[in-house]
Amino acid sequence: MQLVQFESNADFEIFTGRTDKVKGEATFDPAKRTGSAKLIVDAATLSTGIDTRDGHMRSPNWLDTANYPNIAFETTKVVHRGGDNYRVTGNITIHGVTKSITVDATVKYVKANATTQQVGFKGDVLQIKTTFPVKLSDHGINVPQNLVAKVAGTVKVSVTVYAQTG
Amino acid sequence: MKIFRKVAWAALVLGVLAVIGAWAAESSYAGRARLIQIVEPSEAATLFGDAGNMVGTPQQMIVGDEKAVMPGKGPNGSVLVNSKYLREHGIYPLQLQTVRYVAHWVRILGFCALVGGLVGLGALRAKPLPPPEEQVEESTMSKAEPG
Repeated sequence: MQLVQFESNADFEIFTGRTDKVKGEATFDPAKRTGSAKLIVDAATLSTGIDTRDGHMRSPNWLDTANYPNIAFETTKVVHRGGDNYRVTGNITIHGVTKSITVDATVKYVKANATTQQVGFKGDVLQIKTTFPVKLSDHGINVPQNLVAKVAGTVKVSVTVYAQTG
Repeated sequence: MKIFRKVAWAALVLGVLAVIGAWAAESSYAGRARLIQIVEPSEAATLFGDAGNMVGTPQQMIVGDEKAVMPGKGPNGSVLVNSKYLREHGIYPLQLQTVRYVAHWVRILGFCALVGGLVGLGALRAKPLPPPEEQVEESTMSKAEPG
């Protein structure tokens, strides 16, 4: 149900890595249109669909998941921009390096009803979606010169997560 | 010198074939590729009016198995393709971007081989082999001189 993914768009190919192993918590006030969120992604479960590539991705030269098993994001400021749109500032930690980022996100809220229960939610449901670029070198991950055609130096991270009350 | 001529001709022919082949393969693939948005089916997403969770951005590729296609359209009119179906059936579609990248390098290498072949043949033509009689005479003389 949860989906955190990255997309690398290099000359040779575009590939995505994704995982649904996301934990965290979110608060949302539908009346005041504000809230907060904290997400923790199990970096070792990111999968690109090719086992060899996944092995490289988890190795010390890349995500080094043995030493940095999680990717984390925690909001520090949320500003409502109209409709379901929000500007969110927060700290993202990848490969043990924390950076402050500001991203645009959509947050949709549905009160508990027969359909939400049918899907498997116990209470009110919140959908949070955002996409933002991450420069790998900002987090101490440098793409080797011989791989620049295959792996982009900046990847697009997309997050689609659902939270429920109760 | 005959071997150099053969190598030059081989380079020329392979170069021409590589350039034409790369162009033909790329054109053929481009003609069949569609803008595809991979989608991970999710009941939760349907609560919010989405067909599923979008995986990456739309890309030009070929997905031959129509059973993988989902109803509706994705961003930029892209065809929605079921990620779960692809995974379960071991389908990893080749991207047009990859075909273009490989074709680009094959064309460059082919062009280099073509030019190398032409230069080689030109050089061999500019300096023709001496007639067989002269070759015999030269070798006889060179043998006779030391005595």
